[in-house]
Amino acid sequence: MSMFTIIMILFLLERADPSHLVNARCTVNFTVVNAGLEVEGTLKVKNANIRFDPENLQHASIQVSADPSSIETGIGIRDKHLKRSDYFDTNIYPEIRLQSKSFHETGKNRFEGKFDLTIKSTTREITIPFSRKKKGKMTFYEGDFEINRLDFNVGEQSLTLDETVRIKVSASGEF
Amino acid sequence: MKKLLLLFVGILIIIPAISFLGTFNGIPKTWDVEAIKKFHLPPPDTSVKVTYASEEYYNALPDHVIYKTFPMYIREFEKPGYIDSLRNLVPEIMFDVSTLKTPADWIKAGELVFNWPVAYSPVGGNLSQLKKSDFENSNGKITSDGIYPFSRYVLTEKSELIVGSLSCASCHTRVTDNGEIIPGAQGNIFNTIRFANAVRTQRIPFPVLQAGARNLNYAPWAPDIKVAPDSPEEFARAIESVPGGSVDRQGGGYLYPFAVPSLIGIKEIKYLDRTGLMKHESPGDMMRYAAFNQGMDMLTSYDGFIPGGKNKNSELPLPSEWNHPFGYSAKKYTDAQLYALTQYIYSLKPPKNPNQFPDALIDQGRKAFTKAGCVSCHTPPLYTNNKLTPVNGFEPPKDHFEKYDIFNVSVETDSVSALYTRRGTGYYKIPSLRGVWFQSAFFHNASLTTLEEVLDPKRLRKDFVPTGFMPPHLKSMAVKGHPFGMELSEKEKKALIAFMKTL
Repeated sequence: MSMFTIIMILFLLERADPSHLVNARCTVNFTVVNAGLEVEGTLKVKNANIRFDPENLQHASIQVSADPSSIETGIGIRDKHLKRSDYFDTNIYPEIRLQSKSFHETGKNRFEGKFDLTIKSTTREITIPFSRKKKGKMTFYEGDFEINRLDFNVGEQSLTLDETVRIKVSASGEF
Repeated sequence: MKKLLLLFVGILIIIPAISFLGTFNGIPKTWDVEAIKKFHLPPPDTSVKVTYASEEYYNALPDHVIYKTFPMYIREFEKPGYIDSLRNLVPEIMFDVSTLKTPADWIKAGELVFNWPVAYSPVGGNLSQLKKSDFENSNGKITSDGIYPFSRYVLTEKSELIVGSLSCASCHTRVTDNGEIIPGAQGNIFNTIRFANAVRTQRIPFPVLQAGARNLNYAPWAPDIKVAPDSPEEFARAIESVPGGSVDRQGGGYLYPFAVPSLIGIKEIKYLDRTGLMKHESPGDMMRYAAFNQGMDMLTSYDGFIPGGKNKNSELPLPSEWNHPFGYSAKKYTDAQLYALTQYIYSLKPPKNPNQFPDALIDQGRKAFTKAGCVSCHTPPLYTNNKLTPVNGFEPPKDHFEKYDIFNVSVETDSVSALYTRRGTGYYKIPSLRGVWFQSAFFHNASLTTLEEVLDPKRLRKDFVPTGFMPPHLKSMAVKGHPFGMELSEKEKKALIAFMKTL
């Protein structure tokens, strides 16, 4: 068997894996309450790899990395501030990572995963409930969770800005 | 052993008693160089070696003796014989620390200090030198009863009447459109026309003014920045271009006036000066601020350059030789005088707000205040988060995050005052919005005069003509930075302005 044949077989096996989304389309949205009003923002995702077969959760994995320097909240100077050392410090920490550790099913098309979330130099385990839906050739994932931004050394205590940030991660792709 | 124990207990009792007696009146020491080093921020070029005048030097300066002073009227309001009647009075010392027993006594005494002028010139003739016509087309103000609060008459020796100016009140007194006085508010009274005329006609020799301007404005770390005018006419126009609510002051840079802050509510404000030059954590800090700004800052050495120094700014003058370019007398306030001043300043209250808006409009404005992001920096209840923002071109050194309160993003306004002047620190202070309804100078260089202008995106364009300060050689200029609120709808802006005018 030639090397070319081996590579082709591996490639086809990869393509044939119905659970594997490579570079899935993925978005990260967040909201945080500032002085009683919700501020909405987005982060661009650098890459998202999802290997998720509901029949084989033991071998499932989800890995998403987002670019904190892409943050947008609708106010340019605020976005610049969020990139600086007291918030995301993007020169030193150019990536936010979400790496799955385990999953279990909680209902029809509903799952819960344990993930390591790394922001700046802090990694903490978080639990994310999410849904998985198929529509035609497309598969859609959607999960949301909350973090305390101070746990990750993002900003400081504030009279106006809440510590709780609600994050929604959506991914979709074609199999 | 028993005797030794008694002696030890005695010492334990006596030491606190002595300490208490030493500070029984709670008056901090103004010129405490170690305290000054902590409260004074360094220049933006942190390699510059800053040396403050020594305690020995400060203590050798003679004290101000505060006499009774008298209002200066314009001629049309002056009662016949007023000036001669003052000359006939017996000079009366008004500030006497031994009479101050209650907090109210200290506040009242502080008002005397607030109004005590530090630059003097003799009064000739028997009529006011000020006329109503001096105030036509001028940004100077007089009260409804014809008083010009920038200056006051002083009698320190019988029959020798002098006119005094440059008290705290000279810059921190506002006269409203109705001619009422708001002590401590953003000042708007200085009549620039008379000074500009004196410059234009060279009644003050131009070389003297030029040298003075250099001493007032030169910062050794910015040798290429223009610090003095080239001609009397240029200088006269520069003086005339400084609008009410702002002041061209020592260390501030030529053609870079500063908007005057309101002192009302200053007790809760953590940094003083637009550039956050000095920390304010106690009355002692406020006393130090006053001492610096009434002349001592001209005696600080920056890499060997002493603005008020002799021998080409290289040596401290003897106290008797000191000659401030603004004409200050070479005197210092006593610690008691400065402490009284702080008590008066801290006691200032805002005037009754005449603005009335529907509750729904104010509520809408409050929401716009949050939506536009104003609230993050102008955080209630003080409507400032009491922090410093670094300017474009300055990256805060790591140790500053430990020492100072930094909101670590530039709002991208003009950075010259913060970088290239002696008052520069690399930062601007986030000002409180309390009392904006009785202010008329906005942004640190007072380029804008209304909140509508602040929210107008047209001000970012080169062809914009600001209603506030603009260097006289320009026909238009962009007032950059701080774009918050510009994206709001017109309706939201109106509501936002209404809300801010209630603060």
